[in-house]
Amino acid sequence: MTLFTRLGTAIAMAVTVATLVQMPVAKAEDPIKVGVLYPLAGVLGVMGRGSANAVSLAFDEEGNRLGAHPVQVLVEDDEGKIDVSLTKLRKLVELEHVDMVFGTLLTNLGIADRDYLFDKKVLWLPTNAAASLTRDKKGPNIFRAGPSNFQWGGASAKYLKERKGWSKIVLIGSNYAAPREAFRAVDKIYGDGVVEHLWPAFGTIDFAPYLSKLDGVSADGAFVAVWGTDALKLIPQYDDYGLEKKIPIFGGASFTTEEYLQGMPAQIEGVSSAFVYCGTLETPENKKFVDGYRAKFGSDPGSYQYLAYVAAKMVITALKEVSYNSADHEALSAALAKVRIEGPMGPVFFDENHGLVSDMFAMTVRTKDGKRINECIDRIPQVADDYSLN
Amino acid sequence: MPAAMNFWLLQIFNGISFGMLLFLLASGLTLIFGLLRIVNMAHGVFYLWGGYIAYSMVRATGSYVLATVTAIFGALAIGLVAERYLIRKVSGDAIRQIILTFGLMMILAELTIVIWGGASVVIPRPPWLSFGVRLGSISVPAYRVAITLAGLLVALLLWLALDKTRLGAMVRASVDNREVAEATGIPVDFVFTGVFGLGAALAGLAGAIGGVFVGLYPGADLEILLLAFVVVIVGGIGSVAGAFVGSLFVGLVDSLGKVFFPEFAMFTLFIPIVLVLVFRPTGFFGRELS
Repeated sequence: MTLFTRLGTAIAMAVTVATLVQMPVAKAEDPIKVGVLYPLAGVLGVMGRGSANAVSLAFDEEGNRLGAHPVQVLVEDDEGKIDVSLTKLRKLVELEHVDMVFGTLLTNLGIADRDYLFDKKVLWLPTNAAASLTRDKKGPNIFRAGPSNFQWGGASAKYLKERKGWSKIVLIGSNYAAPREAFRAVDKIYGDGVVEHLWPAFGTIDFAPYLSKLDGVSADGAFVAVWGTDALKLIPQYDDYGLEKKIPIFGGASFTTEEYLQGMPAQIEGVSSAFVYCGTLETPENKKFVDGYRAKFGSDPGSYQYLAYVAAKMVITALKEVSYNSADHEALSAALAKVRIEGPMGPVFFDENHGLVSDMFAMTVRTKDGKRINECIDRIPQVADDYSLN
Repeated sequence: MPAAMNFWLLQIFNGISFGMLLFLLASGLTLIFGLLRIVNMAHGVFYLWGGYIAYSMVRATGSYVLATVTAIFGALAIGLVAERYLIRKVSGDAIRQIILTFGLMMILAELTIVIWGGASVVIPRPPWLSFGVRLGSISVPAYRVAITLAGLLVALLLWLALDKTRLGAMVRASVDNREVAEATGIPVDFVFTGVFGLGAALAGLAGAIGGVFVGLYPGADLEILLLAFVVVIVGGIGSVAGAFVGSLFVGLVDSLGKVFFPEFAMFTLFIPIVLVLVFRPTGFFGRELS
């Protein structure tokens, strides 16, 4: 009894002292602590590790030192699981006292992590995030550092309609939230121009029954929101039925992203898509990014790496604005909201809801020197979210 | 022929060809269960290994035929070693068998990530199968016709081997009654190892074919193993004829279900299966297990 009381008092005192001591002013030699939370293994690991790598690359370019402060990048694996994600987040925030958190990849984890990070007021940049984080779940410390599904879906549809002149299209999307959101933006732009919706289940092995529905359908092309291993199965089967010649595929979002391009089936050659990153774009910033990534990690960066890298670059600029006082989280968030930088793909900044505004690119897969690359075809400037959709 | 008719013919063809891919996997699974009474959780990973071996061989030699043969023998070797040195040690204990084959599955699946990097790959389609074939009034991919023919050929060979040969008689005898078979001098242990190897070899063949059709990636083994288990359960556990009928059933239900209710693919696949099991708990060709 007395032991417990004493212990309790001691802990209470320790906590009080700790709270009093923690004032939001960083001393000269205090490290700036960067929390990075992505799935690092398994199927998602390719994208997650790539994103974490890209964040650390951005701080590496500063020599892991900002002003007088050393930078510590702390990478944690959320395993793509909600419970693990929250535990790791607590570790980063409460034990390591990180000044910011980058990640995660899965939108459901993003939603689950949101309330905790909102309460803790730690700067948070999910790089592949749900649209709701800049809508009903927005917050002063939350920056959606990747395009929402409405955003890339709408911009791609506008591009196809106005610049490619496709008047009738087919939509093929895995039957879950991301394609559904994207296609709502497409439907808004195309209206009756959408001649067929196909919703193959996530994890479909045989796409033929869906594809047979396109027999006799006439359309200028198919806008496809199917990714990862499902796309791997879809692409050759689509070609098997002679559809690629009749209704060519135009990929949505990371359809031809560099991480997966080399392992894609041969039929990916010549397929076009549109997203925020085109690996072969010739800008000094992109050259620095690609060369730096290759030198450090031995592979080509894709759209996931790009988003994580550019998010980190923007935070570094915001830190300069607040004289590297990373401890004042509110001032840092306020500074980030005003940041505008020239990234590898052109100017990037956050809109009034803290949603990323960036250029998008239409690109086509080509083989150059025995390696598949994205050839940049068109620039779609300053793509912002359409907040009338939610 | 009217367009609507062609549409249905095409769907039926799709269902049959997908069913035949499932048959290649399910026939091995059902053989192993029928004879050894083992629920082989590692069967899907034999498929994955067959696929990756074929992928490496195609990359190295460019020959799809050579790659398929290597995949079959590769999976056969893995199966023989697994049965002889692992699974036999726990014979007669169902729980330990399941745990052992489950562990084997995890180790072999992780090894594919170590060896092949866990990247998603598709085996390049053999150029001599990359064209369209006219079947009556419909046009179908040659590759799917080849899968269908491979499935039919394997079904025919299995039927001949099991029903018409001395070796087949020994297998059937061992299935029916192990003690009596042993008493009549059938080398049951040898038969067991052989059948397990044959089942693994069929999974390897399915991997080489499926790797072209649906690709290879971590988790591909479980995706397709689920359907193979469904085939085996619907067809009747242990029956090759059941696996054949079950494969056609699952292939067609999957294909036609996606046409009628495209947004409820899993639902339309499993509801008919539930109905089959309600009215025939042992599956189409199953018997009560002794």
